[in-house]
Amino acid sequence: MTLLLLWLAGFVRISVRGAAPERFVNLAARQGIPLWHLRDNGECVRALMRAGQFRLIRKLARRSRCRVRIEARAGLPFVGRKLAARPGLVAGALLALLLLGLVNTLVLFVEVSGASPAHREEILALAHSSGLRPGVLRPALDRSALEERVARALPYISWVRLTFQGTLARLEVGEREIPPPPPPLTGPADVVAAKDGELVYFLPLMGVPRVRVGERVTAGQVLISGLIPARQVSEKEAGPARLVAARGVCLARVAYRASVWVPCHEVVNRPTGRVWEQWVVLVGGKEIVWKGKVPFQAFEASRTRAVAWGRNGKPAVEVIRTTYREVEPVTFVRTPEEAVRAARERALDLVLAQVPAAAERESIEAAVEAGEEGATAHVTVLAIEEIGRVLPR
Amino acid sequence: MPERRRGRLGERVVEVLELPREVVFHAPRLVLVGNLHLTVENHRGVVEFGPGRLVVGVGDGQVAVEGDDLTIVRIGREEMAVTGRIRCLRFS
Repeated sequence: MTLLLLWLAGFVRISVRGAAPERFVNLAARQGIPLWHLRDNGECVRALMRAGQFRLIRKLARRSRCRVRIEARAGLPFVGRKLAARPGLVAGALLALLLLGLVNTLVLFVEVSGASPAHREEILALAHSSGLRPGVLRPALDRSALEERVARALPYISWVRLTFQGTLARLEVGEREIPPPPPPLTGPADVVAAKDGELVYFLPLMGVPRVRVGERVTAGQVLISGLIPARQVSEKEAGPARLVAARGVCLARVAYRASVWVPCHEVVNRPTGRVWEQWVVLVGGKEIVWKGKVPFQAFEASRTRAVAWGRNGKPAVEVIRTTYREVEPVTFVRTPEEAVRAARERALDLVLAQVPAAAERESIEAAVEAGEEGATAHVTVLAIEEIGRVLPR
Repeated sequence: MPERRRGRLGERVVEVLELPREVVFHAPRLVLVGNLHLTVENHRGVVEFGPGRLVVGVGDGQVAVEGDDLTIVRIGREEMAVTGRIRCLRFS
């Protein structure tokens, strides 16, 4: 540290020659002029001292009858003086540093790790279209948005993490194991309705149709039967009945409904942010409670449990931590119009959460009953979807 | 009060109050780290300095340091640090 400070202040290496260099050293020390790294090589004593104090030692050199000479100069002031004489060099160095910094913020290579070779190209192409490509500036990338986009776009990916190592952007992905599709039924089976609905398109491919287009069907009803009845060969003789794996396309109009009541004066429990924890340790049938009484009047509690199992398979030590979060009742006051809007939004959210992603939304109907105390919204969404499920007979 | 009695009284006070002697009496304090580094506080200057021998004035005497490749790393008004391979310390 001392040498660093010395370098920053600038220092000189001096040689002291004379009959008694010790006298010079003592005089300098007494005057408060520190000397460093004194060495005697037989001919003279060499030492380091601050460049700014060199003028002060001339008198001391005369008094001690020594000859003091500067052998070398070093430190920041001398380097600075040298650099000041070469502005081109300084500008070049600064430019090089600037370029180095700029290059360091660039993405020059993009790599995908953790993905199977078959998926790498697709992930790279998606990353490329999302903005992660060679030449892009790292600060310009929205890392979390890119990760989310890649993870959402590719169904076989469960998580994505984007890391940078210099100019290399590495997209680490975790592939989820998609279970293989169930083997097609080879044995006899019926096609039954999974939901209530109105058939809008019906195409039996194998088996005997039991319903028609436009017919209302209920969940569990057989749509296509796998039992092909015996054919009448002649007036006396009937052919054998056959069992087949029924299949077909059964698109139906399914209605999803939800009703929500929103009062104009609604009391909601709002967390205050105060948390209190209670620990209970169960050892050998004894219960040790740390902090017993909950200091909140109204709260929501969640419990976690950690168990150390004994050799006999029973819990040896059990620690139960209960976290109490204080809540306070807050009354929301709405105008009837606001209650109608809130009811409609909540009901719609509830309904849409039920509609499968593969279903095609046909219509949305909303009916609202508004009063002075609140509003009730009834929302119905009609969706067209496949309701046929193959069930073995 | 005679000088001798005053000295004795001072010694007694230092002993009873467990005060550091180098502070009260301005006595030299030498710290030797292995045989490689020596710090001398409250010195009275360099008496002799060569590559194999360094004599430092302390209190009313001297300390001679003998060794190889002796270097005074730092010398200030009251403190000095010496490195090298120290073989012998002699008080006189």
